[in-house]
Amino acid sequence: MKELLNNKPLFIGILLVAFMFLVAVFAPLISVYEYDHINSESILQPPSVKHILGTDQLGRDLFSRMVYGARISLSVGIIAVGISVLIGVILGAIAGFYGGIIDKIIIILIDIMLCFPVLFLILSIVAILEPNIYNIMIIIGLTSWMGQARLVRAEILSLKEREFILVEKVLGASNFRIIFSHLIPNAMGPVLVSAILGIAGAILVESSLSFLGLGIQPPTPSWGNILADAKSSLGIAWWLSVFPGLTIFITIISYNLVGEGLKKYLK
Amino acid sequence: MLNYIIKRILSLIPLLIGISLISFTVIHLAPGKTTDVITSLNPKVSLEARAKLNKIYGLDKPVLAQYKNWVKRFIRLDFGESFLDGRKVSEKIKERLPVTLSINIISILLILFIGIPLGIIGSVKESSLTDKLITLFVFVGFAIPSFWIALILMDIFCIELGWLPALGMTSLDFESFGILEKAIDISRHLALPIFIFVFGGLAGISRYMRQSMIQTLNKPYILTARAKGLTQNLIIYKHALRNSLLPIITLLGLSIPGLISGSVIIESVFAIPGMGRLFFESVMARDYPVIMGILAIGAILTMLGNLAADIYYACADPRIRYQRQ
Amino acid sequence: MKSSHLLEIDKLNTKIFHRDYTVNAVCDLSLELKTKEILAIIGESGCGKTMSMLSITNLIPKNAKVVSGGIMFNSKELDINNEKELLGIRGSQVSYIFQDATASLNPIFTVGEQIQEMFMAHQCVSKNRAKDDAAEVLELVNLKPAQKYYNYYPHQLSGGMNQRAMIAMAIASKPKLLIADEPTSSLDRITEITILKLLKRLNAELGLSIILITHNISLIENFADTIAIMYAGRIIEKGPSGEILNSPKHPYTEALLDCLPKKGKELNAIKGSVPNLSNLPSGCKFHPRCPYVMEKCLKQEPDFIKISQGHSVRCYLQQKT
Repeated sequence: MKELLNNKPLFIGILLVAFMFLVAVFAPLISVYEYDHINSESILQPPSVKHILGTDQLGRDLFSRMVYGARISLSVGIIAVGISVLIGVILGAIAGFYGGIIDKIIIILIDIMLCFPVLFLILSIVAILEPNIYNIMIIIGLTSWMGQARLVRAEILSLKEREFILVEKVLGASNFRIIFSHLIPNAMGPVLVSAILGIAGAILVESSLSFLGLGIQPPTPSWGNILADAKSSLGIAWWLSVFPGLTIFITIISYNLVGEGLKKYLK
Repeated sequence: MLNYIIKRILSLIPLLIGISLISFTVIHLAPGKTTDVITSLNPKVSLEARAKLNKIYGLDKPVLAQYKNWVKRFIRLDFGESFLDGRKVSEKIKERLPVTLSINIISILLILFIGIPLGIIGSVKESSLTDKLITLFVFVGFAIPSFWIALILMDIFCIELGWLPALGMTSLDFESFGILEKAIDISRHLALPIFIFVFGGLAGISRYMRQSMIQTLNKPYILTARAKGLTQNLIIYKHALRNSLLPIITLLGLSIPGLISGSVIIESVFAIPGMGRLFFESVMARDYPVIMGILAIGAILTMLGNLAADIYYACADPRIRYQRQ
Repeated sequence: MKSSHLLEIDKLNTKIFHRDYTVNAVCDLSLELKTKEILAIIGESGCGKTMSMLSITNLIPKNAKVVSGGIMFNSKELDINNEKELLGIRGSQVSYIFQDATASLNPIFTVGEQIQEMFMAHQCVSKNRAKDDAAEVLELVNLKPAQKYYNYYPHQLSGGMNQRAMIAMAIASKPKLLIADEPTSSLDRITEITILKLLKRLNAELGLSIILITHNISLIENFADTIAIMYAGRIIEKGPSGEILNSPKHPYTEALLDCLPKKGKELNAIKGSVPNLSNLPSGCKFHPRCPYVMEKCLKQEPDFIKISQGHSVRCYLQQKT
């Protein structure tokens, strides 16, 4: 515990992650205005006491929109990563434990998936189905499990031969029990780090999708689609481009700090 | 080593099968027939025309037959015709691919040119202020969303300062320029996009290079080199560097899909006529043949890039090139 | 100042600085080496043999430092902090060979190229001339035909061949001293004997002084002229090899020799374990394991006591009251 607190970058990361989390959870309480409250009288206002971060081209309060955007981004990030961890851990464990042809098939599947540039695949699928938040979560999850699978497979390959597993085998434990009660829990360290870094990645992907117009659809605010709107007001309303992007940036850094910090701690 | 290359090329076959399968499946996930989209976008299309389209795309046949059809055309890189303008998909891609490839290649070269020295400095001056600054800089570059920095830079350099053009790859009167002017014009248009690619990509390479160098410098043969009385420069640049560069080659191969993905965003923001932008436009217009085509091409490029990296590695590392006697 | 000595080390102290603790790798180490002499340094793993020899030309790791002590080489005082001076000595006057030869050679250059490099760096000759010189020295270490072995990469050769290549590399610039750090520990017995024979031959033909670090006593008698026994970072007995092996005076040396497998004898081990170099016992460092320990052994470390010409030992047992 003490080491955790001594590691400054890790500590800052955890604080930021927690802060963003609280903002997302308490969004309705924090935001002064409704995120879709259009006010044609205060279009494109710079930051002021009335609107801390300014307003957009429809007079909506930027701060309120961004606070709700936090909800979107974080929920997409966490659920997408949850899905990818689920798929990755299961496939990786099966590949590592059973070896042989099953392993080969899973490895080839991973290699094939890795051949596709991530955004290409996601954009294609999102275009075909409709871009709503649930689809996005699932699609991101379905296209980012490969890293987790490889990690788990590697860990299990090395754990497989260790004594405590052989002991369990001798004691007659079923394969299922060995995989789920013993192997996977021990392999979770690197997976946890990968998942945390994965949340940052998922948030970035969701923002990119929303920016391109194929993610969260307006009027629901996402940091990405606010930035997309900002493009048309470039040069006129600096606050519209700076704040959402800065928030994405800080969020990604915070998860990276936590992930990297945990990596050192686990070593 | 020939064995190795042959084995490696053979391993591409399952990958190609997988790529064709996935690109096929992705499109056919669409609820309803793919041709419904064109016809729904253009109500003037008659029923006969619709039936004709269905026949051309083989959509009236069972799925397996459709897939066989797709594979036959996939091998010839024939992805059909675009729904938007009826031109051959391969033509449209051929037009745009060189732009994207050139931007990516220039970016990779710059990333190597800057990132490798940064990594070397970081390893030689480990834990010094310089090292810490480089790590910070690189960490930031890694976390900045490319579309955000694109907007900010566009705002500063194109709108506020007016130094660089914001959109497109060439100016309106490009055709009237002399060769040098043409070159400068393109450079001015591509300066920001390339800068953003490089800034984001430096993180990976320099960090990995630093780690690789540190690991290499701790190897026994470096102690031998020191014991031989070789100068520090000789030890770093001859003995350590070449060994540290080997894994970087593999890393480059692995970063190709990331660069191609990035092209979609950057080319869209800066209106560069490349493959990424074509992909984006096709997705917005639900132009499925083009989408499938670019999806497949993107995957094949990645695959080829990795193959090239692996073969180069096999040539560069004597332990793979020559087997034991 | 004895000018007949090639190397003189006087009270060398090297420390390794870790984050939370410091290791006293080499403590007040003193020894002398004459020209053409073969000295074997014997001791268990972790007693500081390697660190002491690396300290001579400051090849120690970044977190280690030679804190005090004097080194005289070829009648000249060596300044440990003068990197330029040391660069002039490494490889050309003092050479090293290490334990795992295959790992100690750069895997991406051929064995010949690495030897060629020596000639180019120290003798400043042309590339082609250096290539010929390298071939010559390959023949000298019995890697014949030299043309063939020149073009091999380290991973293509056996451990023994690589060690011979390393020796070739080490003697390329005709150094006065070769320090061999456990060169045969990872080789099989027959290859070990071949390597030692080669070194002995080079000593005779080239007048090369050799310091051999080893923990294997059995082959030393016919190989070394002098033996120094090391324990806990210091030398505790030194003398002519015949005398040391046949009439050891230090209890540790006795115990070491007793461990040697002999026909008809039970296998022995020395009681206790090697001390932690960051937390050493008081007085004589061997006292916790010594069967003859006396009260004064706990209080102060004994100095060298001369037994005969060239044979001295750090033990109160030899103190004539």
